[in-house]
Amino acid sequence: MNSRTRRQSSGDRAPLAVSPDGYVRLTTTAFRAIPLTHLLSELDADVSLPPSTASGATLASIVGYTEWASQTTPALSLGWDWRIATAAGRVRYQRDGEVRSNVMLVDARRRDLGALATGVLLCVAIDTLEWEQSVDHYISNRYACHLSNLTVTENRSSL
Amino acid sequence: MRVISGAAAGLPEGYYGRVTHYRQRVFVEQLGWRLQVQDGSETDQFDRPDTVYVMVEDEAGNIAGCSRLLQTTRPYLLSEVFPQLLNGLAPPSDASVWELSRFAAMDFNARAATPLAQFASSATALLMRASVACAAERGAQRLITVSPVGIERLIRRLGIQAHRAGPPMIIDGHAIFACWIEVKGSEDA
Repeated sequence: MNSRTRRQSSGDRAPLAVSPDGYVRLTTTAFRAIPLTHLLSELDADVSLPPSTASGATLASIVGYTEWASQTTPALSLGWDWRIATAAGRVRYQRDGEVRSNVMLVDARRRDLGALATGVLLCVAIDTLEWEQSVDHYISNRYACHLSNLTVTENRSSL
Repeated sequence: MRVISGAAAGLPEGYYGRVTHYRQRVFVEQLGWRLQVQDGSETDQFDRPDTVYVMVEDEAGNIAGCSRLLQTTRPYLLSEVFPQLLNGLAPPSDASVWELSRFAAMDFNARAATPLAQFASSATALLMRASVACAAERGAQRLITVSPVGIERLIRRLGIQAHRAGPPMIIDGHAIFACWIEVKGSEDA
């Protein structure tokens, strides 16, 4: 994730630590300065593969999730769902729903912003991260034998 | 559906054997986890007299889901086997923190349901809420789980307050992670 040039406060420079409640607390500015690395991505397993005799693919919707982490100690961990959407003839990955993480964003005085505000800000941050290519590369390699001949249903479970 | 819970000695006759057999079918046969199996039952060192089991039974009397609760003041799965999932935090040892493990809701009588579809079932939601409630009755304020990463989506979509403890790790080919669940405020979710 690219950092933005911004004046740092002392809160932005506080060392990372895991709180007893499991959260890693840091400011939004500090969060945006930490690179995230792709860990893994998966297709949701309720896709329906066509019979081996099928010719051509019927693409309704492909959905999955992806996991990213920082190389810091302790690590920041973020995961979100995605779907492949088609718009104006282009196929692209889109984040689908909330970002799940171990991050609690705090203000300059180290006060929690809360789970809701943190979730919103993490979504904004993720949407500026160029994650699609990493996911596509990983998924394409992992599922190469399936994606060449894939029918995916619209039926998505809640897992 | 009905919920049955308690320590092994307090369960109705035969239910301890049924739940360990159910675990063998789910975790070993269906999910391919490398776990200890004896005489068709999956048990480990954390199946002790003080371990609490939660089960969901369908209308026909078949087990449709199970989970296991361990107080963290004694050895538990995360503290003994997977402490690396806590992202550097020392494993909790606190009477108000319980571990939730071996959570599964797979209805072997349902037709052609995928594992993911199973997670969306009413049995899964009932089991998760019953597990939280059962732990709360015993004084738990927080739960810590060791689970496949997908469980986090289920928990949060049920309206239960939860967040991960750290990044998932690939162990025996499966992506697993630790997740904190807040009992307070989640009992009515």
